[in-house]
Amino acid sequence: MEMTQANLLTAEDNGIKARLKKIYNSTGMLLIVFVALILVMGIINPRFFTIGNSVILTRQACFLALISMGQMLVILTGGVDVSLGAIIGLCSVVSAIVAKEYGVMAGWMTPILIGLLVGVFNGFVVAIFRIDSFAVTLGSMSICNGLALIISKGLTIYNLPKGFKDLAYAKVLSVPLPVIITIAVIVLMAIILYRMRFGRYIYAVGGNPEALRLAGVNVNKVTIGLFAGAGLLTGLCAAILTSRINSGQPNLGGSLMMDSIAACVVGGVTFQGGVGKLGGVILGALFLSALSNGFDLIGVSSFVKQVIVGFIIIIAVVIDKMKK
Amino acid sequence: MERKAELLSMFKVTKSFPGVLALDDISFELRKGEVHALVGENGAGKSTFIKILSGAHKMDTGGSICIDKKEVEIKSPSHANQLGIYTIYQEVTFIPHMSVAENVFLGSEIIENGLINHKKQIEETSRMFEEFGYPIDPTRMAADLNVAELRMINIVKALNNDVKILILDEPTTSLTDKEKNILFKNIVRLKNNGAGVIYISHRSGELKELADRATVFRNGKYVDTVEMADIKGLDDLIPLMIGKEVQNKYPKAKAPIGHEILRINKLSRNKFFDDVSFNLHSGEVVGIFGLVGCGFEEVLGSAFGVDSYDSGEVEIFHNNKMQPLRKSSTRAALDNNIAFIPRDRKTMGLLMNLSVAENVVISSYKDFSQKIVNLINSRKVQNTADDYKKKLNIKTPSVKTIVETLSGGNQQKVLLARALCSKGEVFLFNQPTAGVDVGAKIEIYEFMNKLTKAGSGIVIVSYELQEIMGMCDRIVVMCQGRVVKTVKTEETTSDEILAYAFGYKN
Repeated sequence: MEMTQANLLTAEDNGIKARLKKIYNSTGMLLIVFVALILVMGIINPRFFTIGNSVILTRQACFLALISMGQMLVILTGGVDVSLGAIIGLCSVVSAIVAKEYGVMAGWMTPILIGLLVGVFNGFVVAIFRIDSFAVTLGSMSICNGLALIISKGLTIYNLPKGFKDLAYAKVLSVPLPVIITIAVIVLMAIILYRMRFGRYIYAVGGNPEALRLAGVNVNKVTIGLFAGAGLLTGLCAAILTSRINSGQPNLGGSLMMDSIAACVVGGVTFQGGVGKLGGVILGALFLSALSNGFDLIGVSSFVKQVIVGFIIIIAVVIDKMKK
Repeated sequence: MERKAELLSMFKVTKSFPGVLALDDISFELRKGEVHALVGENGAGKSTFIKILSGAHKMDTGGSICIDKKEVEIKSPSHANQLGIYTIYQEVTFIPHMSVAENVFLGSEIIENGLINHKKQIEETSRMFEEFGYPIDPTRMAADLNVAELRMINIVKALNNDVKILILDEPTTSLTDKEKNILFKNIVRLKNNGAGVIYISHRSGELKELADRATVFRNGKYVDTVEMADIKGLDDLIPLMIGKEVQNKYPKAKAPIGHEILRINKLSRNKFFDDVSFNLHSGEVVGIFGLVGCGFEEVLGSAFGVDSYDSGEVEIFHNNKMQPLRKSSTRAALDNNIAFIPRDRKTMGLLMNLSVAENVVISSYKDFSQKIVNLINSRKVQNTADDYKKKLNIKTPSVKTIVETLSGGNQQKVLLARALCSKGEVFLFNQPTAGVDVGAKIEIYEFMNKLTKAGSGIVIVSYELQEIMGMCDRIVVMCQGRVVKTVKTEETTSDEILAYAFGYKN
């Protein structure tokens, strides 16, 4: 899929061998480990391979993929956005309230708008005041968390209008709508990242912002844009998640923010900035989701799961370092 | 000679930064079809000047810039480009994880239907480099290229535009002769097409070859503009640059030579150098000369303990006798009063983000701490740093100033101060005056005289033969990792040393 997109930069790509090599280069060990993981899980518990479980797994992976792509934009510039999880909570409660007042469509759209606004705010402060993105987004994390609790009075909002959950449960040609949306976003992201100026500038900001500035590019605009993108994707993720549980929850984000960083790291996006491929991030999200899903099926407790995921992240980073 | 039409004129240009007046009321004129050299010491204001022209800095109000007799306000780098002003900075700028083609088209991508056409960019890049006479594979990653190649990318990128005014800041740094010739050919082509070139360089040979006129800046002020035809060489301009007559570029003062203080004994390190021996006496300056890759820098590094070595010994005079020095320990070297001045002060020497005072005392903090709880006595630090500031004439507003903001020569002096502060007796200098301007160079040499007079010994490793010939008592010549000759300076000539270094003689 987008792996070939990722390599458009190289002049020619012909031959299956060359293509495989490229995929290996862009995703490294991850692909091999991912395939091995699926096989092992499937052998331990054949239910892992059933269509039903595949659907569950892909749907789970969609949420992580969406928010991870947002996180990727920020990490590519050498920063990190820790507010994304909190944005989901805020978006969720607002979405539920708006859906009750103004109908289903408004309920789906508002979270996207809110995500975008918070993203623009983050990007604006980071760009204009030249503040570290961690500090800024730490602040907005707290703000969003607080707002979500104020708006919802700390409670889950139920009784949403009929049809609200269609966003998460509708199917087109028996493919779940969230999967279609996610694939569409991936394609769009691939085009933006590799074939549009804005995308290339995101990589350039991470590589050498001064060089970009001297090349006559408004670096601030790029920074604001990419944070906006991260917020927007998170808002979209929130809309689908809220629809899925059919209620507004102030702490819906849960561990998604941390998982999004993990997916990026496992997928080969480096914290120095400027390096990382979309294919890697998607695979990272799939991998973490499969791991989580597989552990559930074979009966590993979620506590043990956390420990294992932690080790995997560290191993991924070490392998990445050793490859250089 | 026919006077060419005026292309650019700058009038009363001033730029102040907090606490510093970087440019003071500068006027400057550039003609069409002219290569105009800009010379001056580090810190004379050349960089600020070109940054204003290229839109990276805004000048203070009151001055004016005219291009083709029309007054302009240069708002940003991209605006400068629109006006036809292109700059090649001394620092090579590139995005490491992007291809050559993407780097070339950064900021001016080829867009079709809203998408970047990578294929076309690659073809265009190929064509540009062919035309320039420097073919390169446009799909290679910038991170994989060497500095010379990256510099050429910067140059080709700028020259691919409709250039009216080209600004070059030390463009030949790290270029080989082949690349230099390609660059010069293109500069001449540009000039013949009626563009104006502002050329900054410390290398007098290049300026003599290329420049039509030269303007001298000193301490942010305009000094003079001369026709290159009227002067013999750039040496004539040195008095203008530093504001005083220079008697001698190498003011060597002989000091009485005493007992042995350092002995390098059959030192070998696989792949770098082999069976290297030489010694150093108090009051003596020993120079090691060789070509790039001869291993002399590594010898110095191993002697100080930055790197290890495989066999041999480093001995140091301690407690009235020669004693072996523990290997690969910079702490042991420092404790035995060896001081090392690394080549690259930015990455290996100074802590750029710390103050002058902290940089001076960093290797000898122990002497500034209380015995029991180890609290740093900041007043003592401050006083000591002030002392060195005065002694070495370090030009800085205060010792609390961050080192990064000082000019190259003054940064080098901070490193010297650190060496002194750690009570060095054996000084190992790796390229002591690289990237330092004439005035500061002489100050550094005079400082060396003071050291030898006080009984210290100095080893200088340098690619500049003149410096070695001018400042050293004895010369060790290395070729391909081996010492090929050790000779007293007065008993040899530059030609002989070079012959040994090239391996013609052994």
